[in-house]
Amino acid sequence: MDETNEQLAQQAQSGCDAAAATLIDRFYRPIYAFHRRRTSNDEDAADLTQRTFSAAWQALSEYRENALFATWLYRIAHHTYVDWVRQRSRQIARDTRWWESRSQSEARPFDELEDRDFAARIYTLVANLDEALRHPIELHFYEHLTIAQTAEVLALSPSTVKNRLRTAIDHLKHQSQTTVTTPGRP
Amino acid sequence: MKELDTKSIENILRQAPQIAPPEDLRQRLQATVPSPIQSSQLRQRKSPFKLLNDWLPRLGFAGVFVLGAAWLTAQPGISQDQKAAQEALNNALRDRDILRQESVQRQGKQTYLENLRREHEEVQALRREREQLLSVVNEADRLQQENDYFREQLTIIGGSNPLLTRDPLGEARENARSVMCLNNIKQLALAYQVARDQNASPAEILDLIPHLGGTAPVVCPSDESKEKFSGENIHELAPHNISYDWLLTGPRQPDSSTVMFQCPIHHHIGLGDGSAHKGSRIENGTIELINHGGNLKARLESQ
Repeated sequence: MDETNEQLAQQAQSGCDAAAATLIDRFYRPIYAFHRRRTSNDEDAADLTQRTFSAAWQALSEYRENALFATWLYRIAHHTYVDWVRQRSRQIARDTRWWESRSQSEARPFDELEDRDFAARIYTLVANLDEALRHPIELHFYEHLTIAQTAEVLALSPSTVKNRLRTAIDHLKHQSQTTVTTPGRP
Repeated sequence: MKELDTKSIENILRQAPQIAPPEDLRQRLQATVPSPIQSSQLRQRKSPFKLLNDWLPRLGFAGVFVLGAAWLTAQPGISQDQKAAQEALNNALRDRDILRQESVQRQGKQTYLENLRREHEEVQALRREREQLLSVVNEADRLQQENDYFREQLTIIGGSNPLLTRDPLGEARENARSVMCLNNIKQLALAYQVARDQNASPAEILDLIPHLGGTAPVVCPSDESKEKFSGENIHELAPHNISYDWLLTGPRQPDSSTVMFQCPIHHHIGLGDGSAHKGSRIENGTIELINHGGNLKARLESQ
């Protein structure tokens, strides 16, 4: 039967390796995608994913059942990424066209060329946002976390997350209008 | 142009394609990521060093404290000589403090004594001054009493003493009255001269009096027994209005030396030539009155 992530985490705390393996199976894709959007290549993303799960199992004893496991894991992933950037101590080149590489084979929602182009512009603009605005966008829209979960991962208040999301979308609107009205630009 | 609104953008974001991981990522993770148990064991292995890192500062402080205590207790005791010297020094310091206190007290007493002496001297000086003042006051009282006594005596003995009875203002008034009286005599003498030419009688002379102006010059200013005559009605003239004595008893045409009028108070006289002379001149002898043929005549010294 399908056990919840929280129950599996409890079992993994008790020493059940199968539960830990199941949790890895459930979360390695979204965690990898989370890191892939922030890094410039697959190898760094895979490395960060491995580090994320290693850190999570090391801190598993501190996990409390009343917290959502997904939120807890994303918080570890976010801190793993931040620590990794600090260790590299140089600006990380991001892949601003991540959706073109290794996108899933399911039907894309944008079948019309115009829509695809417009969506691509939006994703590019998001990738070029400052990380204070970009991270809430990625967690809330790309990873489908709620406002509260996003706030918990980023250690911000929900109102701050809302403000940043609003600011980011207004920026996207303004930038995309400028881009749209300018002829000849991709 | 595409309609841009918040909803559209949010939809686009939510529909962002998920990124597919590498095919071998799952196996790689299962193989490389330690299980929670292994991770826990790894953590415990690291913990002694971690424990040491956590406790090293505390152990260091404790070690310093222990060493310090050991050093203090291991110090050799102070020798007997040092103790004795220390005791003597303490005693000397104590004695010095006592002596200092006594010196301060002594100075205080000395200062108090000096202040007392100074105040005593001041009091003595004030007493002497007081006695001198009292003697002066007594002398003044005595002299005042003597003066009062002498004044009484002088008053009793004789008020004619000009030094005691003199009244300068009254004298001035009397002099003025004497002058006015002399003036009256002069007017009367002139009036007679005028009337004599006309062979007038005394009554007729008196008729002239109203024409002499003002109050008729027939009352001596010093004669308080007479009423002043207004001079309007000559017939009202009476003895009580006239001060001056009409002395012409002889022939009706006196000569220039005949005394016509005389003031009984001032003794001023009016002669037949119309002149008037002070009574003081009679007193000092410059004018001699002689009875000649029943008439009083004046013999002037200059004559």
